[in-house]
Amino acid sequence: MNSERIEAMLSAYAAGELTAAERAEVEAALARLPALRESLAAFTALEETLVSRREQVPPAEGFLRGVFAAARAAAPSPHPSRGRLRRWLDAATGVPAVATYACLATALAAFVYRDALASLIARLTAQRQMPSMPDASGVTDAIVAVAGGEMWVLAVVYAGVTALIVLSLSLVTMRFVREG
Amino acid sequence: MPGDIDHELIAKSLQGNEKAFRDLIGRHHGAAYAVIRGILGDSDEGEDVLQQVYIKIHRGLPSFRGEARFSTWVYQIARNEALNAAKRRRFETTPIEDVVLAAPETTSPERAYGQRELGERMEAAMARLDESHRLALELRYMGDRSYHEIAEMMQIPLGTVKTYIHRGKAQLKEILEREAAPGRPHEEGRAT
Repeated sequence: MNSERIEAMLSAYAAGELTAAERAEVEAALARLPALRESLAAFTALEETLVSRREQVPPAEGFLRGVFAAARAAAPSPHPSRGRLRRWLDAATGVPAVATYACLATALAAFVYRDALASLIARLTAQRQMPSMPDASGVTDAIVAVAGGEMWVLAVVYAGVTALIVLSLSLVTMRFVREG
Repeated sequence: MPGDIDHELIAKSLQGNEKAFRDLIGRHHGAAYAVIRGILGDSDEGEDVLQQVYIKIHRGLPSFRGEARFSTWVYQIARNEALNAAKRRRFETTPIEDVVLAAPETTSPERAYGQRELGERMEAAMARLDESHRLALELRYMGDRSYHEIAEMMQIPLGTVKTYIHRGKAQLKEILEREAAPGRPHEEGRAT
């Protein structure tokens, strides 16, 4: 055995890492060369000191408390302080929602009182002596009548109301999803 | 397999299970501490760095894809954090080489291997090893890792790990014996 191999074998012997055959080889060398025993004693003492280093590892728990505290500090609060943009978005969500409910309430009222509304509009338009007055028997006809018979006005009103309802319901849904 | 246990614990940790994260860290705590000690030596700063390592692991866990072993990922984070701390320290405090030279100079041969003194001298001797030898030794002993695990973490062949550890121990023995010998001059600088 050369000196580096002897050192490696003695080191591994002290660490208990050798096979039975390798241990026998080292023990034979120790019997043959008593000077190696001093080196083995040094490796054994070194091994004990190195193994004892495990005791220097502090418990993990102390570090983990800090980790969880940092994670909680970084996590968004369930009731966050709202930024300016967020407040504007909330307002933008709230206004169409209120408008939607107002539209729905108005539509319901117009449906319930459609006959009274129609006669009211008919009287008003008669007073104004509007030409080519259509029969104002319903809300649709009434709107057309108020618009002076222009059908495009009816289309714009319906399209606007529909868009407003769809937009508002989408925003309200998004808000529930986001906060839910 | 250890990796499978890690993956289970990672999955649970990602669902907000704090106990799973504790168990996950508990499995790698010794190794992470060993890596930091291997680079920064015995200093209070090491514990601050370890805290940062765990915070980084906690924050980075959602992006951990499992392409490498979790132990390798922990090793890399710990090593990077410790090296960054060492760079900062280089500008702020005494270089590690000076600390080593300022270590206790004389001890009688009879007491040289006394556990307490040997422990103190061991720290100074460890600081004089090559970084790769020191890291392998710290992972083996302080981190209680097997040779295979060290090879995976450091991403080096198994035979290289064995060489690092055997040579590291031979160097430690040589340094300690030289310092214990009376009337012999101390070798300056790192052992090679």
